[in-house]
Amino acid sequence: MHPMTPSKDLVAASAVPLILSILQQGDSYGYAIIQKVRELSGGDMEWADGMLYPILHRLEKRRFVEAYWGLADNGRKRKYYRLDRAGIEELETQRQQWNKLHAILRQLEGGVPCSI
Amino acid sequence: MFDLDREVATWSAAVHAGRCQAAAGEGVTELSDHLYCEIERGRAAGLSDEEAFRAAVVRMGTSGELTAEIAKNRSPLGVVCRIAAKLDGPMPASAEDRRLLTAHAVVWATLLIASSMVLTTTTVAKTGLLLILLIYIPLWQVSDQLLRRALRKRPAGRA
Repeated sequence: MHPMTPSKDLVAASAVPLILSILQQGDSYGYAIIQKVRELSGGDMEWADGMLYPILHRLEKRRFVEAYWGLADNGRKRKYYRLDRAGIEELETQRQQWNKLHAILRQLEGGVPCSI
Repeated sequence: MFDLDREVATWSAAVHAGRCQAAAGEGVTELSDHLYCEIERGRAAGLSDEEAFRAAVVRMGTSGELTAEIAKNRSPLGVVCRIAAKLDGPMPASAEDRRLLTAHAVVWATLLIASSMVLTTTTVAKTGLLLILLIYIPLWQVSDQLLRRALRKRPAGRA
């Protein structure tokens, strides 16, 4: 595995905040979300494409996102997702948690002694 | 000759085979759209329809992985739908699924015979719906989970 390729566990753990963050930028659909993640990670973040949909459906069930059907440019039926109010709150919570974790790692990296 | 539309429809339907009709229909449409997007990308890179389809399917992950992931979202009603879909269709291909189906048949035949011995006709007439909602459906879910665990613990090769 390439050293910059995140492990399977990290990919799974980061999926929800990534999806919610992408949807915060505007409504989107499964394929576009995956392309966005791939593009932002420079190709290092590889999801098995199909895994995204059960996660999106869970988010929909928990009312973090709302789904609606539309038509693609080529006339194909397409399911779009938009971020809901509960999703915005969840995203904020997850961001705080990730930032906290990042801060801890940075401190340890800088050699700050443990205060135990 | 390779029929792209038929292959996409078959693959998407197989992933959602165990779901209730409405959920499966939407899921199939959504997965099909994704497959077509990826196939269009493959075609633009010079692949044939068949090559682009095969590559898109590989990117999606195995249907077993996908079905397992979809199963995590299943409600109690979804579990009943899945079993009903299985009973309605041909015998499952994998030995594990066949063992699970047989174990369910034995457990539920026993339970129904026991129920018929304990319950009187009047009780069933009065509490039939409640029995199904409060006892049989939860029991179905619990027994499904227990049987799966029990079958997973069995060493491979022992049917």
